[in-house]
Amino acid sequence: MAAEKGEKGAAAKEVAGERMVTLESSDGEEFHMSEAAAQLSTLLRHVIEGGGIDNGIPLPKVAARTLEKVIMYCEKHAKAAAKSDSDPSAAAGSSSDNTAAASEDLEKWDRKLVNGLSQDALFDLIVAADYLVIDGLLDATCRKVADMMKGKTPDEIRKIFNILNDFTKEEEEEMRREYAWAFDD
Amino acid sequence: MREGEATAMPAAPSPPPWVALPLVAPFLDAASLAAASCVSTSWHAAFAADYLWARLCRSHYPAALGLLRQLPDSDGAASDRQCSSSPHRLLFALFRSASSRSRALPSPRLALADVAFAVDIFTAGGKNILSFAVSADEAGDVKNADGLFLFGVDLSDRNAVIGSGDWRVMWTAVRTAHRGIAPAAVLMMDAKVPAARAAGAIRFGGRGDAGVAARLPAPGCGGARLEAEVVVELTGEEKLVEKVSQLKRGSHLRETFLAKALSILSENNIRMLWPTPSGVKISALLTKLKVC
Repeated sequence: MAAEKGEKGAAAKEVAGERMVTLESSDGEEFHMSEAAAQLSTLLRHVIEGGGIDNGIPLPKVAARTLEKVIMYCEKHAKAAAKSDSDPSAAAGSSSDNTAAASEDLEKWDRKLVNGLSQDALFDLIVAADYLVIDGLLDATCRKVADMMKGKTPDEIRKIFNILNDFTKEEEEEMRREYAWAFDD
Repeated sequence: MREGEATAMPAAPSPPPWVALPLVAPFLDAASLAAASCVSTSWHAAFAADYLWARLCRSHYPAALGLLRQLPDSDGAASDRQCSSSPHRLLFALFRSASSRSRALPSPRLALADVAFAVDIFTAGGKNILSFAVSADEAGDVKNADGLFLFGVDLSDRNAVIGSGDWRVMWTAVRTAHRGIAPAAVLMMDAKVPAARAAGAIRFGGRGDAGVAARLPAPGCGGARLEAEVVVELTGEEKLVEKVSQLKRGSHLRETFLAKALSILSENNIRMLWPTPSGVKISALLTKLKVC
């Protein structure tokens, strides 16, 4: 069976039947992920298709701790996709219960992943998912941030995200006027 | 409680990298987007973008988009420059405030040309089936007989497909530009047709109907009572609903009825005629306003 996560510092492996790619984080750490998992990133997919990845793929924009999460996500989702592909009853088209339960489990896993991140790590993951073009991961991480903002006033948002209010008094007054309708209820 | 990654909890998180803000923006609801726009100048740059409000209009009030050109900036206010650079935000704000206006309906002095109707039909899951906006004086055929004020909109070129399941119909009346007075909107009806009631009414080769009643507040206005009924008629290939024949009356009378309609609505009823299995066409939308 393929390795579940990339292993740091080891040489590139080719596990039986599973091709691996090597990635290098911005801080020089080496990671391995299965090619199947790498396909979830449109960027990596194009790099792999373009060939010339023998020496590994450098990712100067992605730090090690973020890349680790990216790989976790991709391996999990690649494995889930492979499982549903090889599901014998999928051909008969009658396993809707199983697929519904499976996708619900996957969603729970995604939520657990994003909930376990610090705020800084969460935003780093958003930026990485955007850069690597991994739609599902971008979705899950952005939704988390949106949830954090839901129902909050501007001041509460400032506190949560540590933002400085740099409006002038006049500008603040204008904001209040322009957006009063959204806060009434 | 979040499990932090580092062993020591940082004093405060770093402010989010600016590039992340436009990525998060499409996931925000209207209130969150408004709040985010008020946080700081850089957040305003990211979150006050008009395309974000256009997106929200498309999902909540798609019919409103048909009125974009009929809602110019009101004169006066210094915030005009901001307003004209965010037409979709203004449009969204107008329709959002329409539901609170149901409790305080606008003054009844109106000409047909100043009024538009916006109708949105959604599935219960929020998927938009059909939307349109029409100026009241351009709206199809008008019939005024026995106190009935009818207008019709021919939607036979739309070919919207409507399945089973719950529906939601939203009908908003908008007072468009009017001699320098700002536009106003009233939510006339926001009602659901439950699937259970509809399902029993479908008959092969015929038309089924399902009904739901929604009550709107009835501010007193001289004792006249008004009923409003919206009928959406869906036809199969054989039958095309004929357009309502036109009876011309004095425009004064029409205005009076319309004005009364917008200021007094005691009850409205939606009757939905279910599609035949052979095909679906929404061919007419009739609004009957009856003075009792």
